[in-house]
Amino acid sequence: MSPPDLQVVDSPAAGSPEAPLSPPVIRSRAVALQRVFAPVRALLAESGMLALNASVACGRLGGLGRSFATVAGDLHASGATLARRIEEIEVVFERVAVEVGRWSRTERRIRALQAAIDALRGAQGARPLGPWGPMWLPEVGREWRILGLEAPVNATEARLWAVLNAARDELIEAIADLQQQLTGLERHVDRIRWAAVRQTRYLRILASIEQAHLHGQGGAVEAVIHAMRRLDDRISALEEEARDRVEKVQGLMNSFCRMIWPPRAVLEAV
Amino acid sequence: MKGTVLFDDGKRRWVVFGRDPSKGEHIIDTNQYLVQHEGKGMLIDPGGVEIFPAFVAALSAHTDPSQLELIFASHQDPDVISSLALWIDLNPQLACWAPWVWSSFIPHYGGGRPVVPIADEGVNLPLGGSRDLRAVPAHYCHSSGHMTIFDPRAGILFSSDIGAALLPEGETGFFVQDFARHTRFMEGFHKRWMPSNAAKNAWVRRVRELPVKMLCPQHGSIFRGDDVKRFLDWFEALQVGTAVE
Repeated sequence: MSPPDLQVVDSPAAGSPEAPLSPPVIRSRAVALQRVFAPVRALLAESGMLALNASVACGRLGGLGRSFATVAGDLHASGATLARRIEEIEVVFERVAVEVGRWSRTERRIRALQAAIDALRGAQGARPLGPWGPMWLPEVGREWRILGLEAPVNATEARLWAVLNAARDELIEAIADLQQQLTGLERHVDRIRWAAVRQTRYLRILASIEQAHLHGQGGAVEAVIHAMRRLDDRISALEEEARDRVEKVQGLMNSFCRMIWPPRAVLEAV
Repeated sequence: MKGTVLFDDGKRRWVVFGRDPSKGEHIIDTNQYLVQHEGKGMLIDPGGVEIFPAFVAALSAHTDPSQLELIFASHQDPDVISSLALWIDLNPQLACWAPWVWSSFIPHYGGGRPVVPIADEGVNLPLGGSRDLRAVPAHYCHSSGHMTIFDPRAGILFSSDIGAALLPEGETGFFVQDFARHTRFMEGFHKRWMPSNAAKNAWVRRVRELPVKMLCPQHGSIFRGDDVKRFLDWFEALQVGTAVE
């Protein structure tokens, strides 16, 4: 049994730079998610302006605007909630960036360590490891015996295996943590939707009811409602795009994890 | 990667590694050095990540990484020390010594630990209980914080980028064979990479006081015997910092 033999069950395209399941593609798409969410900050600022406009409209209406004041207050509260949700999701993006960096860095280390073992074995006339596909990530450095290799040729190789094992564990941890962060993103998108889309929609309906009570005197309120509708549409579009992108990256990540952690039975069969 | 013993008196040993045939052409060739005293080792300018595999393989024929005590980085360049994190992985006890100017920059290569800063005036490096290996300042030759090493026991001067040469393909020997011909491969490098005539001449004056038998650069070939003086004369006369008009 040798790594090249084991590779027959690996996807031949999985390690190539163009393959959608290649680690660089997944990492860059995970980091790019932050850009999808970037406009939400601008929308938050607009939401604040809208709340301010609603308060001004209330003032102009005097006593008649008292009931609309509730809507203006709720708009302020909704903006504050959205701001908190944005802060939460930014923390997640920071963690995503950290894990992506750790994954990339550790992968480079593993590659250097594997190459060092290969070079050392080659220099000593022993059989090299050969190239490994990403499917064999869990096996990288686990045990030279599993790979059908004879014992390490010297103390340096034994030490390289120990370091490779530690790097492998770190890599697996980084990938698992990233997967966890990406899974958590969906929940955060839901919370943003609740804070922004649903609340804006609910307040718009509430504002429309209040406007009806103003019997044609609520021109300013109408403008606020119109702006709310536009904001609602833009937040909805953003949320939809974000959800779509998050789902795609999650899908890639899950497929990658299924590939690198194949069922035990597959491993035992080879 | 080839490894050649430069000096061995039973206690102190110098080995040079380089001329790796598997190295990509896009990477500048580097010389790595191992100094051992009573079996304990120091790596001098162990090189970049790209050459780490070949260097580990070649080094293992001479020592076990667990016997290494320190890494010396003459300056901050990636071809000098970007493999630092991998070496610390191999031996977490390793201490990296470098000019203080770069002591907070070099940790950006990883390894997760501080660098031991070398003061501007230099220091005696501890190795295997010995204390005679001297870090000799070579600031602005080319880096603003730059150290060379003199070993009085072996008469070897590790000169880092001073004396470096960009050798043509096929030049696989470790030693300078024809000094006059060799200057062709050094001139452009020194004119461009060395910015200061004053700094260069200060280093030459400092080194002329040392009994140097062998001058070992980080790139190119090693100078032995009379070629050491020839090099110092040539270097002193060279106008540097002039490659860009």
